[in-house]
Amino acid sequence: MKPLTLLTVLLLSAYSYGQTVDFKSFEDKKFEAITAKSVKVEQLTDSVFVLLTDRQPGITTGGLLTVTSMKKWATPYLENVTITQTSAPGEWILFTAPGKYNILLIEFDPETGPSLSNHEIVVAGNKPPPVDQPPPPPIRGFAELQKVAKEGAAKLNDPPTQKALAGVYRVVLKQIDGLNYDESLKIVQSARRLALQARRGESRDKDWNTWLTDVEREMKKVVAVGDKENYVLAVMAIVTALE
Amino acid sequence: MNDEDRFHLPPDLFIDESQIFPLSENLPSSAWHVTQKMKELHSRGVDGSGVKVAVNDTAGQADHPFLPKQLEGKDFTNSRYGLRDTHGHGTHCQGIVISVAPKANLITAKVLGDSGSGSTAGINAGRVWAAKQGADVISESLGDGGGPPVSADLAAYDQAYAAGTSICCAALGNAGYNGGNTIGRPGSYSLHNHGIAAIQSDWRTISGFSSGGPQARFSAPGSGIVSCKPGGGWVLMSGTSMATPWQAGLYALFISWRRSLGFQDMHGPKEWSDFFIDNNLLVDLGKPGWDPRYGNGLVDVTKSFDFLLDKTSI
Repeated sequence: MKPLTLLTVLLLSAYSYGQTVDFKSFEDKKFEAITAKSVKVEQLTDSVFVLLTDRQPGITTGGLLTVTSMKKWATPYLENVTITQTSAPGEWILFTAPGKYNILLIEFDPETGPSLSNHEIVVAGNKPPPVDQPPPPPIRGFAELQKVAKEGAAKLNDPPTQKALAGVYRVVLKQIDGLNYDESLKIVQSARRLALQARRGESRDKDWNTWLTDVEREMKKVVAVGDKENYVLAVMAIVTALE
Repeated sequence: MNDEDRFHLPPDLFIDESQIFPLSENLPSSAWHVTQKMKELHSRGVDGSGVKVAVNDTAGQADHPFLPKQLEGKDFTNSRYGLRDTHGHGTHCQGIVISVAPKANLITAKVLGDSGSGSTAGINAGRVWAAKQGADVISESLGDGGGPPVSADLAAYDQAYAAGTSICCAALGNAGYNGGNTIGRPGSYSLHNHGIAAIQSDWRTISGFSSGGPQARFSAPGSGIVSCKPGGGWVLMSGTSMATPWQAGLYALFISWRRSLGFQDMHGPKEWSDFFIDNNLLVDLGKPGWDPRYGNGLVDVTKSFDFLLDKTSI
């Protein structure tokens, strides 16, 4: 069976305070080892599938996993897990709920047949920030942007979404290192869409679009189109405001 | 009327058995109801991700290659076949939802039995149950011969919206139009759902079978619609039954995309109608303005998504 070279886990990172994400990958197993109870297995050419099973409640925190593949993805549904396509290579899997996840990545090759890898993802930690920690210093030139982002978020009173936004922005700051302005912008946008789309319950009735519009207005004052260096600083300012 | 017989598939549903397509991986190219523009939107991530659509019907074939695994399912008909779709109508409707919103999640309440009919109690219970499973959109391609509102029906809608459902769609019926009102229930409950008329493949001519009347809200593709067939493959069907899941799939696209831009969810038929009308996102069909056959017309997919386009840099 062909090794799963396309399905290497590229990046694992927790978001928000003191969270940890551990993972362990197992050896390839026979396709027959998959049980179809958790997802329909659709044998299409040029496809990649991910199965998310065995979620264990009670562990606190969340995480973001990026898996590289340029192939089509089938995305079974699991509450609090969102898989999204980005403009960057790879797929992002956002864990908005804590737990232990068993991820099976399956690739179908019409000539060699299916192959899979099994990854155990444990999202744990969730230490609250120190109470007496002073607020982060304003990033020079971006104080007003930080103020708008912070006050707008506070007005919404939606900690889960605020935390998710801070988390994905912080994660993608690492990913856009070395990319140009346009590439960076697309990745940052994708991360934000992912976090907002994953909202649940009362968070869905919060108007984050107004926050987005207000922050965008401030962004335009301090970041010229194409200015990657200031763009990164501005996103960092937003992260500190949200955290 | 015997309650068990009240709800049924629209009577003039056209199933063209001569046009059953072989099993294939992708929707056949003859599926005119999915435009190139919609496919472009799908590739841009406007695909219904994270949205739950309940297709309350004759259930659906869970292992059809085109359909995703159904999140939840419950039989309200006491069918000996359980959630298996021995009729085919529900599978076809589910396929239409997925062709419009490929990453939407499906919920199934089997409220129409294997012969294609169901009871008031089952329909209403299925609606409330689907809402409690988290359905954002509920699609009901079913109806009776029309009549005054039934309080139990309306109460079930109220419970569904209270449970968090964003919008319910219902077929207007396939009784044609005689200048009066040929809309059946629940399609006539315009304060509680969007009643959907059917149009032809030119995207502007009403389907002759499409019922009409004061409660018509929107028009959607409903003539010669290719979608999933139980056992695998594809089949052509026509009816307001087909227009309704198309509209439901479209709503799933909107919900998903709006959420990604941070908008609040919309709740109930008025909020949804106002959104399309106030923002001029409709193609006016038939007589100028609202009319009893086309309702407010067809949602203009291109204009709608240009309107919602992500113009931010973060």
